[in-house]
Amino acid sequence: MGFEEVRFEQDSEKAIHNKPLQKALVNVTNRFRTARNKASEDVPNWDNLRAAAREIKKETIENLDKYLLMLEERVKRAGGKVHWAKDAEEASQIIVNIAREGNVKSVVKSKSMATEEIELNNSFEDAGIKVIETDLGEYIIQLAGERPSHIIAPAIHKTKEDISKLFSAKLGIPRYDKPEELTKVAREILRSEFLNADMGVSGANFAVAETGTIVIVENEGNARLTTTVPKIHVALVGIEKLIPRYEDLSLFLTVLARSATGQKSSTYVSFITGPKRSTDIDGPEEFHLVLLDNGRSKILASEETRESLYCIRCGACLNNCPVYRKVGGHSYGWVYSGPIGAIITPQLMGIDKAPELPFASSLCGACKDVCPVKIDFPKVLLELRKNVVESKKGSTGIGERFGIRLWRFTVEHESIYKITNKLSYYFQLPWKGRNGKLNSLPYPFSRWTDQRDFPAVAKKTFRERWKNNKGETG
Amino acid sequence: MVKVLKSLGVEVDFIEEQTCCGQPAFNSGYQDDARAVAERFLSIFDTTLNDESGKDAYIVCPSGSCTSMVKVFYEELFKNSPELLNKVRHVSQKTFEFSEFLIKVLNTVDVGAGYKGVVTYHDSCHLLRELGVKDGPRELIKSVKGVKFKEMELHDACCGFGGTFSIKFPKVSVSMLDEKIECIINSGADTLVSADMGCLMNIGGALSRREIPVRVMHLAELLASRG
Amino acid sequence: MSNNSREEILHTIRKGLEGVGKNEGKVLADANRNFHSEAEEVHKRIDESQSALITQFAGELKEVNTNVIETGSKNEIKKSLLGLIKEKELKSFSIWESQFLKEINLKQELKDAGLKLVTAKNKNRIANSDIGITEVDYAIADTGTLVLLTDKNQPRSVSLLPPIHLAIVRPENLVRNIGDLFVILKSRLENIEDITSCMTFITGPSRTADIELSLTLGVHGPKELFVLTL
Repeated sequence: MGFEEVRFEQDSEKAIHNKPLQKALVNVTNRFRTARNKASEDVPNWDNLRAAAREIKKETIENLDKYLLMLEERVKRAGGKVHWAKDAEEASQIIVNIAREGNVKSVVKSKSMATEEIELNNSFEDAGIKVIETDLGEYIIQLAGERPSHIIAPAIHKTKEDISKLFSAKLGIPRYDKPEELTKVAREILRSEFLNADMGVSGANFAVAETGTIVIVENEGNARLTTTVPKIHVALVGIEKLIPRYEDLSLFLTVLARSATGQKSSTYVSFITGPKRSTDIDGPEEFHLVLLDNGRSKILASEETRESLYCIRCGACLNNCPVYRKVGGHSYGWVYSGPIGAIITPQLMGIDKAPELPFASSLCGACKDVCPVKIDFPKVLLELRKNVVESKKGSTGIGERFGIRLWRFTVEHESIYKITNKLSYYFQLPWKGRNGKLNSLPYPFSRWTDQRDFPAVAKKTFRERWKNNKGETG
Repeated sequence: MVKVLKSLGVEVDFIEEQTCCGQPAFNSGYQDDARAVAERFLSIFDTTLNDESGKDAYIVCPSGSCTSMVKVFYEELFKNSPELLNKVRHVSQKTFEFSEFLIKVLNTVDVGAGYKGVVTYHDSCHLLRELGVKDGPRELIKSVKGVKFKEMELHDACCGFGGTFSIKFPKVSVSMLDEKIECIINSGADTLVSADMGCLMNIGGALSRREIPVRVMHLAELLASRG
Repeated sequence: MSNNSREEILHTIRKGLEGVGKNEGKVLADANRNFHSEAEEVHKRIDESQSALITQFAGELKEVNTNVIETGSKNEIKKSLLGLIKEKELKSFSIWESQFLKEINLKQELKDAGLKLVTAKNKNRIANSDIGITEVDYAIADTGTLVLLTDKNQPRSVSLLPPIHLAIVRPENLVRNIGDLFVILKSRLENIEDITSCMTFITGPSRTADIELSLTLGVHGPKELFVLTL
C-alpha cells in the first residue's frame, strides 16, 4: 500500500469503467455540491467570509514559525507535550514510542488525513500494537485494506452489498444488508474497542496558537470518544493547520461545515486544550501534540504555490470538480484527491513522483469558485506544470517538446503560419470522413479522434476570405 | 463576428501579422515558449493601438479562453518583466470577448438576428470564471427572433476540453463530455451555442461522431443568422 | 532527535519566508480588540431579541433530529423527566452538578424515582447507563448548537457515553450565533490558563452517512438527543 508513483491515466481509466463507482461518485458529489451551494447562499456575505478566511490563513502561513512557537508554549502550559516530526517516518516513530512508554496494547483512531499520510497503522502493526480506525467509513476501509477515496466520505466507493460481504467475512457475522444494521454492528464492536483502548490518536482541523487548543470537527462522535476515553491522547497535526486567535474559530467553523457537508454546524466540535485537569473527573491523563512537517515547510519557499497550505480540507473542491466526479479519489494515487490532491501530492511527495497530477485538470476553475480560503487552483496548477516541464519529467516527453517548438516556430512567423494553414487543408484529405470531418488521425491526435471528430480545415482560410472581401462572409 | 459587428456600424480591421496569444504553451507548462509568442502578440497589438488610426480601437476576440489569456494570465506570465506590464495593461484594457463587447461597449442586446430553433447555452469555463461573463450571452441569445431558450442542467460544468488535457487524458475528457452531451440532449434543445471554439470543437466533434442531431454554433454565428 | 527536527523545521520555514518578513509585529495583531465592551454590546443585542431566539433555536434543533421539550417551571422539568423515564424505561443515569441543577435538586428527584446514579469516573458503568443529563453553558440559536464546558462538576462522558443525552437550556444561556459566543468566551478568558480542558459543541445526535450516504443516527455518540428548554 506504500506510495510509489501516481499513475493517473491508467487508474482513472479503471475508475471510468467501474459502474458502481461511477454511480457513487455522481451521488456523493451531487449531494455535497447541492448542500454546499444552499448553505453558502444562506449566508449573505459568503464571499466576504471566504476572503477573510483567506487573509487569516495568509497571515498564519507568513508567520508560521512564530505561531508554531506560540502554540508549543501554550500547549505545554496547559500540561501537554509537544513533539516535532520532520517526516512521516519520524512522526510514526514518535507516536509508537509514546505508545511503548505508556505500555499501550491497543489504540483507537479517529479520522485523520495526516495519519493516513504517514501510514501510521502500518507502524503500529509492525510494533505489535493493535490499532482500530473508528470513523465508520475509515473502519470499512481498514477492514478492506484500502485507501480513502474522499476526504469527507472515505468509503464512498463501496456499495452496501460490498460492506455487507466485507463485515461478514472479516468479522465472522451473518450478512446484514441495511445501512442501519451495519452501522449498529460497527457501533457495538467499536464501543468495546474504545473502552479497552489505552491510547487514542486523532488529527485536528485547527490548532489555535493563542490558546494551545486543538479543534476536531466530526459528525459521528468517534473523535470525542477517542479523545475522552483512553488514558493517552495523541494528536497528529500538520504544521499548516494553525490559526492565530481563539475567535478566528467562529469564522473557520462556519465556512468549514458549510463547505464540507452543507451543515450549518457539524454535529460535534471538540476544543481540546491539554490533558484533563487534576480536578476533572474524566478525560485523558496525557496529551501529546505531534507537529508534522513532511514536506510542508518546503512548500513555503515558493511564493506561487504557498497558498496550497491554506487548505482546510473541506472537500468542496472535490465535489465541484468535473474530473474528480469521473475518476474518483484513488486515481490521484495518494491520500489527497481531487484538485487539492492534484496540487498537494506533487509538492509533498516530489514532482517527479506525480508529474501527471498538475495536468489532471481541465483548468475549468470550479474548485477556485467554491474554495473557502479562495485557493487559486488554476494558478498553482500552471506553476506546477511549469515545474514539471522544467524538470523534464513525465508525459512531457520529447514528442511534446518538439511539438511545442514546432508550434512556436509556426506562430512566430506569419508567412509560415499562413502556409501551414493552407497546407493543412491538403494534408487532412486522406483522413476526411463521409461527414466532411476528420474521423481518424494518427497518434497523438488519435487520442482525440478515437471518440470525437475533428473539424476539417476550410479550403479558403479566414485570411484569404478577408483579403477577398474584407470579411463579408462573416 | 465580422458580419455582426459591421451590421452594427463598427469598422472592422484584421491585422494579418497576428497568429496566436500563446495559451497552448502556457497551459502546458512551457512558459518560456508562451512568453515569446505572447510578446509577439503584445507588440503587434500595442503598436496598432498606438497608431493614430488605432487610438479608439478595441480588440475583439470570439473566444473566452484567448481573451482570458490576455486579460488575466498575461499579468502572471509577465510578472517578472515590469517593462512589459504596461503593454499588458494597455492591451488588456482594450481587449474584449465578443459578447462582452456587444453588451458593455456597444450597449446592444438585440442585433437584429433571427433563428428558428430551441437553443441551449454552454458556459465556457474561462469566459464564466476568469472573465465573469454569465448573463450577457444568454441575453443576446434570447433577443434573437424565433429562438426558444432552454437552460440545461450542469450548464456551467466543463465539457472536458481543457486544451491538451483532451489529448493527455482522452478517456477522462470524453467521460466529462458524455455528461455534457447527456445534459444537452435532456434539455430538448436542437442547437447548442457557446462562445469558445475549444468547447465547440470538443462538443461538436462528439455530437457528429455519434450522429446526434444537435446543431453546434458559435454565438457569433447565431447572431449573424437572419433566418 | 525531536529537538533537531524542531530546529530544522523552524529553519526551513524561516528560510522559505525570507522576503515575506514584513509582518514583524503583525502576530496576533487583532488581539487589541476590546472584548469586554464587545461582549456587553452582544449581551444587549441578545436581551433585545431573546424570545425570537428561543423560537429560532427550537426550530433549528428540530432540523437536526433533536427532540425539544418546552417547560415553564422547575416542576415541569421534573414532570417531563419522569414521563421520559417511564416512556424509555430508564433505570440508571448520570448528571452534571452545575449550580442550577443542584438548585432544583434533580439528582435526588431521580434517585427517588428509583433510578440508579452512575458516576463518570467509571467509564464502563457510565457506558452502560441509560441517560446522561447536562445543563448547557451556552446555546447557539442560529445553528441549534449546545455548548458544554468541562470542569470538575461537568465531566465529558455524561453527554457522550450513554445512549440518550438530555440537555437543559435556560434562556439566559442563548446567544445569537457563533460570533457572539466567541466574543463572550474571549471576554471571560482573563488568563489563558483558565481555559477549559475540553469544550464541546453538540448539534443533534450522533450521525453518519458513510454507507451509501444513507443517514443513520447514533453511530458512536448518543442515538437520541433531548433538549429541555425553560
